[in-house]
Amino acid sequence: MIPLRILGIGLIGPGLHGWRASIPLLKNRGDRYQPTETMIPLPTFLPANERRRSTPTIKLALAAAGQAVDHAAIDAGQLATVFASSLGDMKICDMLCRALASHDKPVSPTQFHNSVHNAPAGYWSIATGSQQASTSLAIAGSSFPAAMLETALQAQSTEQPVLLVTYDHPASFPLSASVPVAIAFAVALVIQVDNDNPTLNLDLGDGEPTILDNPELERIRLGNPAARALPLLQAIAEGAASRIFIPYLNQQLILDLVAA
Amino acid sequence: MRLTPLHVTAYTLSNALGRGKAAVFDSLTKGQSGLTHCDLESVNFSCWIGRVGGIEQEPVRKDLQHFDCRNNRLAQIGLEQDGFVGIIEGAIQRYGKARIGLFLGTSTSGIQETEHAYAKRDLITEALPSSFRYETTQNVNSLTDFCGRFLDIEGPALTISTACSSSSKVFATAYRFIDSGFCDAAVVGGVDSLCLTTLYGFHSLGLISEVACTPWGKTRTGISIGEAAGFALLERRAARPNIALLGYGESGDAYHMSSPHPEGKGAALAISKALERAGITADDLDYINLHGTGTQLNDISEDKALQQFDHHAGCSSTKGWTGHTLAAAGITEAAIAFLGLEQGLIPANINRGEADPELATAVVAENQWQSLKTVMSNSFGFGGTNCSLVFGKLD
Repeated sequence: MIPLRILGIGLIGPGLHGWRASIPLLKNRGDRYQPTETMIPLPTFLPANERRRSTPTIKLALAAAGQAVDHAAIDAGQLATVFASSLGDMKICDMLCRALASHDKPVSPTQFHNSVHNAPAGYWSIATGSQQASTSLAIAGSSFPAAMLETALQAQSTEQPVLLVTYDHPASFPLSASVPVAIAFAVALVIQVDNDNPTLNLDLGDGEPTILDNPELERIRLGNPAARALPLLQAIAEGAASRIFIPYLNQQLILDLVAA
Repeated sequence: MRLTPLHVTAYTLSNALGRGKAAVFDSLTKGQSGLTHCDLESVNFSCWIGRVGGIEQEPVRKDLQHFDCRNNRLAQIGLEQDGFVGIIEGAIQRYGKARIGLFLGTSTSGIQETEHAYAKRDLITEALPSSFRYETTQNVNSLTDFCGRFLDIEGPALTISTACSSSSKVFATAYRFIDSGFCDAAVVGGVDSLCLTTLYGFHSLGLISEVACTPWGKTRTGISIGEAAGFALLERRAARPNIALLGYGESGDAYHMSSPHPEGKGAALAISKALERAGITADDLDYINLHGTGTQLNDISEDKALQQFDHHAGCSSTKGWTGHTLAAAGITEAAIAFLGLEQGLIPANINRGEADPELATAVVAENQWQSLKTVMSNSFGFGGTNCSLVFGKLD
């Protein structure tokens, strides 16, 4: 078990525009929630060059990261990071594969460097100047719980806060027919280990996955691997002690929330 | 904080030098580079590659055929060497399948399947062929899912995809998972296979050498891409004297997406963290397997980083043997360092050609036979992601 404290939250999803604005929508079992489009704010902290070269996927990840760091009021330049996305950048994949299927195969260097799974992490480190460890990972529908565990372990081993960013952006046609993510969603959390006053205890074990009462929110939870964080966010918004189960492969990530 | 040594109780590697430890070691001792002139698909520029022969004729196991793609075929070839599957069966007996973690690195996974699907897409509707399977081929999880099923292990798992540092960083992640008790042992490794995406991508950046790559050489002009699979079993305890992970260091450049920091700032940070966790100084290192890609900027940057440490280690890049195996470079070069520890060999930095007077770090020009106790392996990647590992021979 790892005792944790969440210092900051970023959230971008359909009708969910930042953490503070989302609290009343997630509270009371989400009964006031209405889905709308996902609006991806411009990450204004990104240097102009990098902003020009970035893609919707990169902007989605970085905007959530920026929100969490602002909420935590912490120096991003000192933070280690864990970025988790089940898909990576599908728009870039589409552009590269189109180019490679054409006669002259005109691949753009910017598209190619944007194609690496750690592209958002790279842009983030350039924007913030952080030279701390950064991991970019994926494990399909378990990407968020895997990242949560990796983040907690990094925070434990360094005794420093760590930024977790999980995001997935849908593909466009024709890849969209094969790629099972239809909505854009991102969550970012600044997490540190807190042995004295934890707000959240993390462990692995058995149990039944926590589902959401609001059918629209539940649809989103199932429709994007990054949205598997929603039961945790809803529990934080409710503020009551609770136990959340998030499926991580054959096990459950168990998150015990201490009452606020 | 100093690490508790984590034992490398088994390992295997397959790349352009051969399949399995004995074949790779044999090529190393004979001085035979695995690089050949590129004959892959429709590549319309001249370059060299490190290709694993026979992949096209060896589909994946029947019960896992929905995972069939070049990358998983290479993974299967890798897993089938050096009795690795049987060793993992033994570990399952000791720990149970749910207590063995799986942490693998890949950058492009099975993207070749998507490249082929786009080439065959419907001219009017643009639809991809109905036979195209994304989740079990291109998705980066495909590799880990495939290997987990192949080995029948079910512990915590994840794929790290941080370009060329991916399969170095898996050691750090596995250490943390084991150290905190979330698993008792872990399979780590990495697989990356040849595809048009990386060949044309690096070509677009002007980073592909027309001749076989010449790491650390005066006339170096870029990389030769190779493909490789490598795996290791990490355990808290070992039955006999062996190799152990002593330290890891991870850092970022925070500088540029596709160029390393000119002063090697991030690389030096990774090296110093790895030494610190190992509880040693650079002077204790007998061998450093360089990242040494053979691009102008990488070799300068790494050299600048190494100059910040007082060491007497023999140094070599082994990319002249295998090519740059990208996300498999970490495990491939760690495993070459393991062979060095076991056999007492510092492999030559072959293909260097004329030494570059701008580089202060000397590299070993010929295979050097000497007893090694402590080694370092460096991997630095796109997006400024760096990882240094320290391994030692335990008595």
